[in-house]
Parts: sequence; structure tokens; C-alpha cells
Amino acid sequence: MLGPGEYTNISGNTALAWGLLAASQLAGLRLFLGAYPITPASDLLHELAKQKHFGTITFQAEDEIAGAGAALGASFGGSLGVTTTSGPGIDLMAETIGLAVSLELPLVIVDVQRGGPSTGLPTKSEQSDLLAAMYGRHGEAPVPIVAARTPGDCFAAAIEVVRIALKYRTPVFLLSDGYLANGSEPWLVPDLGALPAIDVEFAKLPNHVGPDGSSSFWPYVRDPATLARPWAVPGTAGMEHRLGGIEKADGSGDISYDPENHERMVQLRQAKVAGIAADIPPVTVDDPGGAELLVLGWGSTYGAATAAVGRIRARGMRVAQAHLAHLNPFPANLAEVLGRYGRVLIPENNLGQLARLVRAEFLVDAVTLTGMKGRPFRIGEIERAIADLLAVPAPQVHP
Amino acid sequence: MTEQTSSYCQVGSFAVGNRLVDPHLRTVQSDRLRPNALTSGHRACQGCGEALGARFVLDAAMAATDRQLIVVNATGCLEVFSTPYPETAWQVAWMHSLFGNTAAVATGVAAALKVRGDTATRVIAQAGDGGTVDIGFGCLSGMFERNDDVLFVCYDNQAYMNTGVQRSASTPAAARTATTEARGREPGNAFGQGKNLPALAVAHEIPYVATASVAYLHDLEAKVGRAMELHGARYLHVLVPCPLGWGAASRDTIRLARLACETGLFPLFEAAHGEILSATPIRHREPVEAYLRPQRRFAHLFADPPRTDDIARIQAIADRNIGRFDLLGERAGKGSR
Repeated sequence: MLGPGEYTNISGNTALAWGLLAASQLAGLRLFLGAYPITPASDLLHELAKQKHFGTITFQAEDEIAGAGAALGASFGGSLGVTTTSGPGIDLMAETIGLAVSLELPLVIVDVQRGGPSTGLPTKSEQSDLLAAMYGRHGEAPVPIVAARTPGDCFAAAIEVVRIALKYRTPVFLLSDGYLANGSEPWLVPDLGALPAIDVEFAKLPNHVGPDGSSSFWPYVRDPATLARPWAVPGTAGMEHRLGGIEKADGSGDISYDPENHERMVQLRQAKVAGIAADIPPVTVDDPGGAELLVLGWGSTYGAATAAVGRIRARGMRVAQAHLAHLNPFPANLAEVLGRYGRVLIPENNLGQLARLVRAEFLVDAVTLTGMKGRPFRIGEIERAIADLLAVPAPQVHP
Repeated sequence: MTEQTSSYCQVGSFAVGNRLVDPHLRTVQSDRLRPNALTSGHRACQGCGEALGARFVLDAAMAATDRQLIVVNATGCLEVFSTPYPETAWQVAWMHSLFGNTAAVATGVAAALKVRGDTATRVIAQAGDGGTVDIGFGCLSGMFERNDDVLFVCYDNQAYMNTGVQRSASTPAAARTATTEARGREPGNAFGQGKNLPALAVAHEIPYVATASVAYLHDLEAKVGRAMELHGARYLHVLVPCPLGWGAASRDTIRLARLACETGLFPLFEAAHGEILSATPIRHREPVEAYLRPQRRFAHLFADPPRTDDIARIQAIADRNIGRFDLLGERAGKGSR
């Protein structure tokens, strides 16, 4: 049921654009969007191009390589760098995203997924870019991933990715899809004043004292809590520094081919992203009690999965449901949640990408319900899969 | 695949009128047995300049190569409207590549033919302006530089029409698109930007470069014919009005394509090995306003108050083209052409 308040009808793409805009205001940074037209993400560029009066800068590049590069350059310059695209654009941006991992600068990458591979099904929906977001770069290049679940939720998800990107100085993926982008729902207009501010602190003071006692700025001295490096805006007196894609020495940021240093930097970048788990909400489980089966979802399957779970319960059967917003890192309590249930069903519009991650991470033999028809699941498809699983006893697990 | 033969009603009076002239002077389109590379029944908008241009280009190329032709097509309107699942409107060996790599894929096809010793089969790559001047330019420049045996055809409708009318580097100054809104002090697309790709192609000193317009279809056919007589990298840039993106009436496609030339905004010329060989003179010069006014993408120029400054700047662009290519025949002497 919808509570009282002021609602507006909103599509996923509009909500996402407004979310980016709101996040830039909350952070007090100018929003810079570097993008290239692509279905179904072009609306984001259109919508933000209308918002010049917020100081928003939209830059339509000659391709996705330039779009992502300009956004990363904007981040170097102290703005909120965002790029928006769909799967084929992600492929072209891969190298720049890897650079952002190495530079440790904030960069928001919005992937409004569509059917793939290649040109695929440009106007149809799919959730098949999860592994591309997770692993689609050479080298060890971890990137946090957040997925929106409803059109209106795109607003909150956009704010969340901006928060993570700015706080941890990292590229962050926001996964939407064609179904969310073009779908719409009544959306409770939030009280913008009540949204928490996103603190951004630029480096202004030296952070290193050399052996001769002179102080200087080292760009890779990390915050011990977040492992984020300081963000110094070029042109700030005393904050001169050089960045690049070649491996850097821990601390000084100088180029380093030292074997021990490279291993340490790889581990540090991984630990930084893994540490975000402590800074995101635990996954909540909707369990009426006594459920043996957990339906675990992500992204736009939320509606169909929730309705299917409701139907199953109405038929007198027990089933629990959880839906992930954070896909990298996973919420800290996910292992414990998965351990509570004998079986886990993961419906997703791909060949089992989340299931693969869950199996690898938690050694849980999750059951996949795949749907690759270019459309979202029908409620009945998930309902049938749940009922089929509940009809047979859970396999014996030998410890 | 069922072959579809053409009927006169598809090609209009231009082709039918050809029946009155000597056979060797007739156009490819006037032949009832023309290749009909792009059949009817595709899903282009009414008045689409690109559909018209593509059919004339490919029919002429197929006629010139005894139908031994392979076409590589970039992502874009042309690809989308001609191949809605599960149909195809192509009656030619046709391959859809990606958005940006068409020239490179065509290079590969041409290389394979060369290795196989097949000198009869020829290769055309075709793309819209986005796939040519923006994302495709790197691969295209490489194809030019290597002088690969490919004719690359750009159908320039001056924006990304397929994804919702976003600007490209080929969008003219002051034009409104979804990403260059007619707002603020400098409404529409910025002045002084954009890429003149025919000039860039000339700078690569490839064997043949030409511009053409769907308003002059004889000329378009003739330029394709000349291009197919040559080997190496060749480039043809065809202006194709888009009723949807330009905000123009469907019936005005040919008229606008002609006005673009008659105002001097789109000069028609041929070049070879880095030298301009000839330019088509303007027969009835028109002020740019005649071209701009029928298009809603320029409507803000004629609002209240009108943007006379911007119109003057566009006129200056046209005047510069006229001078550069001697489109009024002033340097060559009137009547010498």
C-alpha cells in the first residue's frame, strides 16, 4: 500500500537522472556527465542536459571511450564524474574503468542493461552485465556494484553509488536495465532536506614529512578507516601530484615496479572495496517463519519475485525472500542469511550470474531460474519454480 | 530468399522519365531489372532520405560490379529500419558490424577477397554520420591510410536519429537536438565545432572523395559509378534529410536536400588524391533562411525576437563554402561549366 504524501509518476531513467542530480547537490559538487547516445540509456543524457540551471554539465562525446575518459578527467578536476551507457558502451569503457581503479578517483558508471551480446536486443531488457561489471577488466580491478530494483528505486540507488564513489575514491557501477529505465511507478517525492549530506573533503594540507623534515603531499597515503586516498584538486597550492595508470608506490604514488609494492597495492585496492561491506546496510529477509527456501534476487526481478512469493504464501506454503542492492561487496550478513536456508532460488534474466557469484563466495548450491527472452519474468514463472522446488524435499547436505 | 523485382511506382517520375532517353543514358533506377538492393517494405519513416540514398548507391554499385558486391553496415537507422526481426530488406550480401568498426570490418572483407584472388567482388561499407564522423572515425581513418579497397559511404542526416536525435559532430550549428536544446544564450548546437569529413577524407589523399545529395540522384549514381571504377579507399558523403530529426515535412526531403546545396551549406564536389577536381555550381542561389525556415530544428532562430545574428553566422558559413569551391563560377568565369 502507498502511504500518504506527494507522488509523481516516474520512469527509471528519470529517477536515476534526478538521483544523480540530488547526489551532486548533497555532495556540493558539480555533476559532470560524459556520455554517448545508446538505447536505453540516452534518456539520462537528455534529462540531465535539461538541468543546466543546477550547474550540471553534460558532454556528449564522440564515443564511449571519450565519454568515460571525460568523466574521469572531471573527477580528477574535482567534480562528480558520471558516465551513462548500456552494455556495448561498457565494453568500450573497460580500459578507462581500469584506469579509474588505478587512479583511485570517484567515477560513477551507469549501465542500463539491454539484451546482449553485441548489438543484441537494444530495446529489450536483460540482467546479463553483472559479471561484466564484476570482472570485465584486465588485471585485478575490483569495482563496487549497486543495482536498482524498481523505477523509483533508481533515485536512491544513484545517491548510494555517488556516496560510495566519493567516500572510497573508486569507480562504482550502477546497474539498471531497460525494464526499469522505461518502466514507471508512482514515486513518493522525497524530502530533499532530509537526505543525508555526502561529505567530501579535498586534500589541502601536506600529509607527509620527508627524512629532511620537509613536508609534502603524497597522493597515495590512505585513510586508515576507508583505505581511500586523498583527493586533491589540481591547482591547489602545495598539492601538486602526478597520476597515471602505471603501478604506483604505496604512499608516494611514484611509479614503482617493486614486486612487493605491486602485491601490496593489489591487496590494498581489493581490501578497500571489500571493506565497503561494513558501510552498507545488511540484507533484510522477509521470512514469515519456518521457511526452508529463500528466493534471492537482484535488480528488476524484484516485482515479479515479490508477487510470486506472495502467491506462494497465499497457497499456504512457506518461503522467504531477500533482494540484493549491493552486489559487490555483498552485505556483511549475507553468508549468515544464506546459511539459514536449506535451499536458495535465484531468478535472474541471465544464465545464472548472481548464482555463480553466490556459489563461488559462499559455497551455496543455489538453484538458478533463468529467463533470457528480452522481457522481465512473469510472476507465474517464478511462482512455478518455487512450487516445484517446494514439492521435492531438500537434498541432504553432508557437512 | 524471395527476390523482389521493382515497379516504376517505387521510384517515381525521376526514373520513369528516363524511358524517354537513349538506353545508354538511362539511370540504373530506370531499369525495371535494377538490382533493387533495398526492397520496399522496410520500416524507414515516410520521406526518409537515407532509404532513398542507400537504394540508389547500392543499386548503382551492384550494376557497376555485375552484382558482385558485399556490404558492411554500421549500427544506425539504416541497419535498424532495414532489418526488423525477423525480416530483411536487403537483396545483397550484407553484414551488420558494430557502431564504430564498420570500416575495419570492410577492410577485413576486402583483405579476404584479395587473399582468395577474387578481383570481381567489391566491398562497400556504409554508416550514418555518427558511425562515420564520431565513433567510427578512428577505424575509417585507418582504412583511408592503408588505402584498403573499400568504398565507404556516409549517409549524413546530421544527428543520431535512431537513438532519439542526439547531436553528432556532423550536426550543423544552431540546430536543436535532444542534447543541444534551444535554450540559453547560445541555443542549439554550438558554432565553430563539428567535423567536415569530406575535407578530412581529401586530406588522406585517397583515390576518390565525393559529396552528393539525394536531391541530385543522377549525380549520386554517377559518383558511385566513378567510385566503383577505381580501387583503393574511396569515400562518398551523401546528405540525407531526416523528416523526424529535422522537424520537416516528409514531402520536403528532396526540397531540403536541394536547398542545402543551393544555399552553399552543402557543397557538391569531387576530389582525387588530395586535389579538388570539380564542384557542382549553384544554379539558383538561395539565402540560408529558405533552407532553415522549413525545419523545426531551427525554429528558435525565427522566434520572437528572431536570432538574426545566428542566421547571419550560418549565411557566412554558406558564403565561405561558395567562395572556397567557387560555387557561383566567379573564378572560373560564368558559363564556362
